[in-house]
Amino acid sequence: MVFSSTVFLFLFLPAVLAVYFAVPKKFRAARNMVLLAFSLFFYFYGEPKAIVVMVASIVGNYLFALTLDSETGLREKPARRAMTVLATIFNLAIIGYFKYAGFVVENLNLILGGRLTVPQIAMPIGISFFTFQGMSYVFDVAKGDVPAQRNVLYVATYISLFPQLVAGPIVRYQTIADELTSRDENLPEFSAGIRRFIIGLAKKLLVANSVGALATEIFALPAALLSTAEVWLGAVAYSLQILFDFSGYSDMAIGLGHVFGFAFDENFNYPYIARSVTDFWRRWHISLSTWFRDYVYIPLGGNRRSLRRQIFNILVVWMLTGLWHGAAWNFVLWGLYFALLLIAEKLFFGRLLERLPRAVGHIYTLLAVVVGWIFFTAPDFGTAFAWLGAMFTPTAGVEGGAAHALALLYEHKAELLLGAVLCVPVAKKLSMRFEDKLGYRLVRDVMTAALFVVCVARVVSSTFNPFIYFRF
Amino acid sequence: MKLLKVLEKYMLTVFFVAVIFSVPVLTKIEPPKELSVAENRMLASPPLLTAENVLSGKYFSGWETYLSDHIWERDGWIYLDTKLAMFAGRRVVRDVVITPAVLLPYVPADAPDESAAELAAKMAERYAKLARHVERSGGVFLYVNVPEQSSMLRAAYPGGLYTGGRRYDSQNKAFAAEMDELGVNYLDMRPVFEASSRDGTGAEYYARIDHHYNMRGAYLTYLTLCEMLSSLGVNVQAKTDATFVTLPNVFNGSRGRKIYNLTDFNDKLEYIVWDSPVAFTRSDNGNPGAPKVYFLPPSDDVEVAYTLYMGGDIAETVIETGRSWLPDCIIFGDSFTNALETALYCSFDTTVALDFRHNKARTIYDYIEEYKPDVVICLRDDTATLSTDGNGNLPD
Repeated sequence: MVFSSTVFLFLFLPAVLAVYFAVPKKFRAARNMVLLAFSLFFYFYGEPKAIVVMVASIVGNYLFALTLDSETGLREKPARRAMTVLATIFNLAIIGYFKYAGFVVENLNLILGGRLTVPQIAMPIGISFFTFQGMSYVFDVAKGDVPAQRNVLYVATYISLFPQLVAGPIVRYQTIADELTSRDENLPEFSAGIRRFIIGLAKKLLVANSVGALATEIFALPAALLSTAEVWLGAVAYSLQILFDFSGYSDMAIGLGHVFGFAFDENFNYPYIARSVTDFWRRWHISLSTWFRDYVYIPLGGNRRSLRRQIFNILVVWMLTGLWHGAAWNFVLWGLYFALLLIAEKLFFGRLLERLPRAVGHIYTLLAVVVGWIFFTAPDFGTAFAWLGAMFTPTAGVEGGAAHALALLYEHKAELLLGAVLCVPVAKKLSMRFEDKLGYRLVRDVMTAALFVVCVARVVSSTFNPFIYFRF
Repeated sequence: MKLLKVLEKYMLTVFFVAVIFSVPVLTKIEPPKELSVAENRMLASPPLLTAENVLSGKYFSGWETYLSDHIWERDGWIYLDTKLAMFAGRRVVRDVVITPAVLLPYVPADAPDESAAELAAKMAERYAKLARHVERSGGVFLYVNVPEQSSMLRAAYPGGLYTGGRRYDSQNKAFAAEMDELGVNYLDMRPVFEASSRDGTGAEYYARIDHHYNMRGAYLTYLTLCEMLSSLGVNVQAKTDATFVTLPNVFNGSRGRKIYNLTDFNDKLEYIVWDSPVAFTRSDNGNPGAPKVYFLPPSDDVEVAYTLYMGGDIAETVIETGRSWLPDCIIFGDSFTNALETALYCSFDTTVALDFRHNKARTIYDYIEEYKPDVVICLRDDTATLSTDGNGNLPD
């Protein structure tokens, strides 16, 4: 079930709100059970068969965490370490089987010339998100950062919480551990949550879907027929699509979190205004970057080891980041591409970028990121390099290709312009400046309400509604 | 001030909650509809609850479609979305290109069809086989290629947008060459429309808001094919005492059902009144019907559509004029045949009009066996030339 659907907006959401708030606040456990039941149904709705995988993940991580609790769990260090390794294997086995088995067999066949049957396994939606949440819970308990949760239903609520279940952000258990047992749902939070939800919905429906249709249309054409102008337009459109698709979803998730009294961490911070690739990755999909930093990069030694080891650590983290996004070599290449840029910034021109005029850093970063999205969205290496070739060497494509790009640009001018404006924190600055003015807040809410009406009209009438991050 | 503060505190939340709670209730109360006139399609039925459907996810996705199709005031929401798209300066709205002169379909990709030569050879061979069969039973076969509206008026596309021309031209060129090679009688109406129109575009023979030609285009096709049949030795004469009458009614064309009637286009439908009408009887699918070829609206304020001609697409219509000295004709093809048939019957004794999209039980060979016609005409538009569906599904 996607948030930008009639079933979610007009059946699921009113139902969960009605039942949840019908339960008095003092019955916290009952409210959590309502959330859990609706969350499991939310997942069952989209992936009826895969609910078993999620339940297995919940039960497994619950039991592992109990054995690793610093107060009541295993005492011996080797035993704790073994159990942590076992928990890691358990989670990686789940994600490995459903997400990577086919990829591994394909490559084994390629390397060994074998004829193993490539397993056709349907990947449960959001498996990368809920598996990583499960792992972070076990790791945090193992480190002693949080005590293990005794109530399996609370662990289930944490892992399956529907706002962030299928497309993140990856919420750390310690972020909401206290809120699971005591939180304060109130009207100001509810209102703020609704506002944030509508803004996310608008980002998704009015910007991401519109520019996404443009990118999809361009990249559906055979690579050999595309002109330089068309590929650039497609790449820019895709860059806006993926930002507003994912950040819109994160806004909706964070907004719904507020409605139910949870405060999820921010997942995006205007990534396209970054002045370096290093800066970009501090602003893009923050919950994933910090996950890899805390659970892979730092345990590998992080920045505290030799330069050679640091470079190795960066390469490992980014190869895994690429693989997390998809079981395909183009994602690995995409990850390694960013690893090389990060290493280059660290070793060679990071300091220089800081001293150069800001515009240079912005242009460099945007260029690097847009090129990166080409590896990300291309179906294979050949197509990726054909698109890149067309971007950087003047290519006429099919007759009238440049005129076609101009015509499409004209057609989508409104959403491209809106997307460009929303990439910079203009609205945020306005809000900070006038937040204390009643008039501003009233106008803002009237406009938000109008935006919701426009979004409903778009939901009812649109057919192009993909969520890119659902496939991870 | 106090009121404003209260408003600020509650307004958005109350509004949001009111909308998400009231829409499902109003949807439940609203009587269900089966058809969307604006989109010219049947609306979704509720999904079937079975264990298999639930486990495969079909049941829930079915609800998604059902609710989107039956949501309260659905047309209103779609009108709003369409209006906003127009307000944003879009020329392409709901997959229709809005130009000052005409409404055209949006074409997302256009390149020559690389498989055209191979497909064209296969299709032409099927028509050649049919033509030989007709000749063996003493008749003449004629294939008529009519440009579809967007193909004829492709110059009206805004600069830079694809027209589909590359694809369809490659297909039609290959097909015409194969038909010529195999000696099948072939009439291409594009040059006729171009030569007959004032500005060389053929625009006056086409609807502005619909994918068909207009009555004048159909009549010119009728005159031209009669002339060609005559040159092929068929004793057929075109009827020329036509007077065109314009219907005052609003014409609801097929282009996005005129984008929900939000455009200012004022296209009208015409029909022919003959100075000396030909009497006839008509049967549809074996059942006697009213002897009429124009299904005129009961009043001027009723919207009309292309179904004015022959009553729309019908599997089998037989028109008998009781003039045994004239030849018999079978015509088959898509909806372009409908307007043509309103004139064609005047030149034949018996006219059998077939649409194999709705007639799966019998083939064209069965009808030739039954009627032993003097003339068999296949008429298709140039975007469907190589399509093997429906009327292109000739037996090998």
